[in-house]
Amino acid sequence: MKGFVARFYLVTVLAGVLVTELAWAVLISTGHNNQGSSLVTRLLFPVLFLVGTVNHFRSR
Amino acid sequence: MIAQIHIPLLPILIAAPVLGLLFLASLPWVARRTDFLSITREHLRRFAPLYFVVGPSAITYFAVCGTVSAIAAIIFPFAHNNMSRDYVIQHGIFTMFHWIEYASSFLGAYAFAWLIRWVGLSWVWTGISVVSLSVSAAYRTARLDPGPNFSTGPQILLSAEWLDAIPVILGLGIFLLQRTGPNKTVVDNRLPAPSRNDPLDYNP
Repeated sequence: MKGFVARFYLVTVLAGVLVTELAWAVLISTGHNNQGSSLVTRLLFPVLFLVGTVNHFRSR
Repeated sequence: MIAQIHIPLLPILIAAPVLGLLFLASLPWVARRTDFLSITREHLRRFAPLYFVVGPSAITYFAVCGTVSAIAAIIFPFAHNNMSRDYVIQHGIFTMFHWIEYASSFLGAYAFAWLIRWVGLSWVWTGISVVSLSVSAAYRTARLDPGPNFSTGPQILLSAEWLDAIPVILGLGIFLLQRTGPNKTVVDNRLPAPSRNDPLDYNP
């Protein structure tokens, strides 16, 4: 029962975090209010994700 | 023919914050009584790229800064009478938004540096989260359209304002200074736990 409660809370918190991340990634990479977006904001998260993933799997 | 769906908004608007607050209020109990913290730490360590690339800036500027700014924007006009509202919108509310953003940047950098240390990830993840926070802080600003259709929210700029990244650097710097300062020697003054089978521990 306690394991189920812990996993329920974990899934709920992480689902909220992932939805927030998705919304923020879309906002910052596409711009807002028809201003467009710069190259830096479009490439920021893909580059960081690549660096982080490579580092993650090299260190495991 | 398109069927019209009527969604009862009022119960949802009441139930969602109540359920959210109940969820947050019960988190300390869950953390104490279950293995929530240990499985969260293991999950974050295993799937770090999912949570420490976009996560720091999303939580800091969307969940924290956005929510606090929205609440402040709702409360702010009620604190002033109608005569001064235009002046307040022109001069006061932008300053408030900026300071909420600075405070969020500082707290976000500090909190995520702490979280990365708690999870047990390498310094590379601290660097990634600081770059994510700094660039987001530089390109994000508050938007305000005063007028008949008053609206506000975040705005992504075409060019960076790098001065907005200073609170991020300060937050990380203070975290690192606290962790590497000269007085970090921990002295454990606690006595060892008495053994039940050792008669020498008997001390009436």
